[in-house]
Amino acid sequence: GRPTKSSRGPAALSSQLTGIDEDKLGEIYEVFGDGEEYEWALEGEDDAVLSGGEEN
Amino acid sequence: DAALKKPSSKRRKLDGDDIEQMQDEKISHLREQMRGAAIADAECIKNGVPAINKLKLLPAVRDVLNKQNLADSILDNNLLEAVRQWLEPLPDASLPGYEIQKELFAAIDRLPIKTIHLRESGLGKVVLFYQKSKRPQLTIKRTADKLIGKWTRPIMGRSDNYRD
Repeated sequence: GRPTKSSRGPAALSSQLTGIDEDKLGEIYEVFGDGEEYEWALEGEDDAVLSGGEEN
Repeated sequence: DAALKKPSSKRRKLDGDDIEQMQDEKISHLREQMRGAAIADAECIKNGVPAINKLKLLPAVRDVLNKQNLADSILDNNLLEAVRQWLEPLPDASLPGYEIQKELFAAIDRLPIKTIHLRESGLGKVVLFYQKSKRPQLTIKRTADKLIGKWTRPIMGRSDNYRD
């Protein structure tokens, strides 16, 4: 089948994060954040600036 | 004027500590300059005028980042925090210029960055943003991808679940 591709939010990392212990997970979030920090700057991307369509 | 020259001991041979301290001061100074330029550019965008402060400072930043012997001082003095500020999206959600992205990503790819430096600087968060955003050039996105892998691995340690 077709692999589902998540490129947004904490889900972007979660494929690598299944089954790891909480300490490590905490550290990952400390280093990379929860994906919310710059969410505001990603918001209009889908309808506005997108012209290349290099993904999908 | 006496104030023009610092009352430093003349011709004293510099030992290792002196050099290290001078490097630290140089990096701290640059960090503050970079912070100032980032704030000034954000203001420019808010006021609808061209933001060129970072671009003007970029050659000096590149000079420092390219010096191998400054790597320790760069990391110790949290210059990466200023790098993070430079890479952040501007108030209108635009990204900094490609030249800036290119130089900074090349530099952070070269530096021996450890987890602690990422914690202190918040750099990992902005690199994650570049991975997620659809706007950066492909080369930048690839570097962001690679860096996230490189920075994730030491945290995960040996893990059977980790697949690259």
